[in-house]
Amino acid sequence: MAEPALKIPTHPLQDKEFLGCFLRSVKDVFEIQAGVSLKDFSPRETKLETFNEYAIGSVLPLRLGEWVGSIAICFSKDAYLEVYSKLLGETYTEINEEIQDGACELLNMIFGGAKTKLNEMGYKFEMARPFLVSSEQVHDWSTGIKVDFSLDVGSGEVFFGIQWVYQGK
Amino acid sequence: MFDANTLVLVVDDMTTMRKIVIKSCRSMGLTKFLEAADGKLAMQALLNSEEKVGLIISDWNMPNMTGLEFLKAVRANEKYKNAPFLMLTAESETSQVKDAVMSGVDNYVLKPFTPASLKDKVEAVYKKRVGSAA
Repeated sequence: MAEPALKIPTHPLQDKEFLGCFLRSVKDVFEIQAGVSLKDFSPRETKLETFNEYAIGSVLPLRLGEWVGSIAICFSKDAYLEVYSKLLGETYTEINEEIQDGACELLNMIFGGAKTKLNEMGYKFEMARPFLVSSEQVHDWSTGIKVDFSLDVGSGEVFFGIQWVYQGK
Repeated sequence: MFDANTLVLVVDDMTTMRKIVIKSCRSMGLTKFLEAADGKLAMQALLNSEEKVGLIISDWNMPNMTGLEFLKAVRANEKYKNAPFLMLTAESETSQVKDAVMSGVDNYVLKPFTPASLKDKVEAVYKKRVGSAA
């Protein structure tokens, strides 16, 4: 039997259903795994370049047909320590090597949840792995078309962004 | 439920997730753990452990040797072919679940998860592998 056609949105960031899968997954991961309630959030004009309190972040590469993109999550120091402390149920006061991969794990879970729903809808995302990024690398990330979300976790700010670049003709 | 002295092998490339799993297991009364960062290291840990591992909790998406490859290696090993095996995954696509079931996984936990949901799955694995044999 012939393979079904690959589902590709005309423009990923203008597809509310597509974006919604990522946003629901962000909410699920923060609420279920970390017990952090997020207020309703919607795209804002938050620019990563101006996210000056950036302390730690992770990026996960995406590919969908001729669209190449990524998702990213970045935390201010206070926000990361609050979220991480809730993840583990104990207090952490410094970001060090021992705890920094929590940013990757959170992003990995966000992608996994979104990927499952999107692939059920006909997309064909492959498994991908997140990696930690420095503030310089995060600023380089900001090319292409983006949608940025700013999440208030109480003691600090979390940035979540989706970026796509069309590489077709 | 598993005996408190059951040796649990926790496999995940993320230190944070290993900590979360171990903390949840401790709250269930389990006290003894081995850790590995991928399937390859986990297999070495199994083979090198003087004490038999009584429960394996492994992530799926890992470098070097994935959780599924590790599961297949465990099931091919005479000593561990019936070891209780719980898979952690951030994805739950039907094809993946089928692959894992066909390869002999006992149950799987979908990330994100609460300590209570992990406990439910650990208990289900116990009933399937240990409780039914008791």
